[in-house]
Amino acid sequence: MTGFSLSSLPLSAPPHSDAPHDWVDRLLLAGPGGEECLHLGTPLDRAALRALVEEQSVRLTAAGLGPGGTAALRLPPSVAFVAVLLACWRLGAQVALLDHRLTDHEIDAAVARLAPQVLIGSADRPAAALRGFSEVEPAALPLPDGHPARTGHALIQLSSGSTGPAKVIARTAADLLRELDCYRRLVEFPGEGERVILLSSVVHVLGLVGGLLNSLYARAALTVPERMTAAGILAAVADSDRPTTVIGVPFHAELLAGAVAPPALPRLRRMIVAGELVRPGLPALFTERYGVPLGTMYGMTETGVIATDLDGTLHPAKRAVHGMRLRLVKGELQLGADSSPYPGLDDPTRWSDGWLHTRDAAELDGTASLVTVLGRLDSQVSIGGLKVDLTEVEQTLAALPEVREAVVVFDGGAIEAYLATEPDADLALVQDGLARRLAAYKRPRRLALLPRLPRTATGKLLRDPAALRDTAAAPAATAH
Amino acid sequence: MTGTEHAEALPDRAEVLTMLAAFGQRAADTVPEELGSLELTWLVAEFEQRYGLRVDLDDERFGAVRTVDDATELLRAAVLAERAGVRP
Repeated sequence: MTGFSLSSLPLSAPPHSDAPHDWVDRLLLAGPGGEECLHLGTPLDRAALRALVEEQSVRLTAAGLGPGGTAALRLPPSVAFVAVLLACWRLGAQVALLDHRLTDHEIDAAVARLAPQVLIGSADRPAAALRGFSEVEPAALPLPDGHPARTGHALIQLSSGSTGPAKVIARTAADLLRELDCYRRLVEFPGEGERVILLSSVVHVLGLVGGLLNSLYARAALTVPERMTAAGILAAVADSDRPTTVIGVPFHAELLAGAVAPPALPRLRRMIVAGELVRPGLPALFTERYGVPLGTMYGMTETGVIATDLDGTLHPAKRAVHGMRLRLVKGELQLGADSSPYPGLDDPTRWSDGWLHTRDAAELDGTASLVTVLGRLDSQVSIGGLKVDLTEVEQTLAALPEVREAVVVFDGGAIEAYLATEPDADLALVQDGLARRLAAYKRPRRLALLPRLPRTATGKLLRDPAALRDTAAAPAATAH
Repeated sequence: MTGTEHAEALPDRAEVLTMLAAFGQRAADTVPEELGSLELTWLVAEFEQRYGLRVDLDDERFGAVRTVDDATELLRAAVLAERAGVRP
């Protein structure tokens, strides 16, 4: 588990065979039965979690899932999500995580692409805005056209695709354990006897590995607040009698830094954020308000955590985690990786010759251990820590029958779309079409309909946000 | 649930813009008319803090708020409902 290896196995090996036998039971679920491990509304101890995982294991086995099988999870953050995920892994299956906010259209495309044997969702969709977790009853649906695992990966996630279908990102159980070992070596990261207040979704890598799996592995109790407002988060922190770390995205730090007269929080150790760059001034504001550091981390779905600055003393630089090899090629940060995390994709612009291309611009110090991330080199943006590829949004819009051409830009933290439409196109139809095809967080905040899109002198579509806004402000255009 | 200095007043557009401007420490005249989900989350948190009220929204109602005016309407309705003893 030293060094950085996405998978040291031939891809034909079954999932989990590169990790210790019974790794879920021995490394995640073990521990005193009466020890609290999760708190989503009510406290749950390890014995109760083991019982829930066992119950789901029985149900999933009845649905046909077994060693080398494949399952896709479409569950919101919930105790059920945790129990089903661990049960699938415990059965030796490969698990694809689908964000519960995806539309039915996006889920259908993902299922067609991944061909899981079992799709686990919930019959009801009770998720309410601002709630940190849901209470759902999982339902396993066997899919007759599903295939068993074709690679040795334990975890499959989909990126927002820049061209064509979404990219498949895969990790082995051993690589997840490697990342957990990196966290264990960081003394500032929550460990045994401490508490984590998790604000990030467990469906994505920061919340999944840095939050959920680390808490189980390191035996730190994990709380997800009932309400994701400053008051709700602070109430959860104040409720803790253990050294407490809050983990989220920069937006959550903004929420907390904006709280008026927060209660005294003597157990708060620090907040750690990742997922996008932190606004200058926010760490100082946060520390002024709470008297503890705002730490930052940098990572990606493909590898999990890459570099950290948990005390906020290196800002804006971060130190590479244990075993991580970094280099710069033409300004792009690359990571040493023995194999590609993209099964079925042969794209040397993403992985080649043992190096993973992050598509992030960065600066490295002379020893290649301190990295400062400058921003993306491609069209991926981050909305509250969720990755959105603008090309996917643009292609989805352009595929709508009412739309002839689309340009999608990111400005001031928001996605904006400028559309050349058929004469008399109905904006409501465009919005409805988009709402069926794209998850809410990917949709443009602003849609402007134009008779035609502005172009440069050489005929290329103009992508300058200010110029596009000027064109949209002209009398013939309508913005919504 | 009431009892703050704002309990008798209804939020107006100017106050909503002031609350939104605190997100990222912006000037009120730079707040865009269209709201993203993060700004709306921020606004609800700010509103709850100022008014001592809790706004419970399902995903559909949350998603229907697209502009500063929509949000102003939503928060006014929340105050009125609280006065009438009915949760929005």
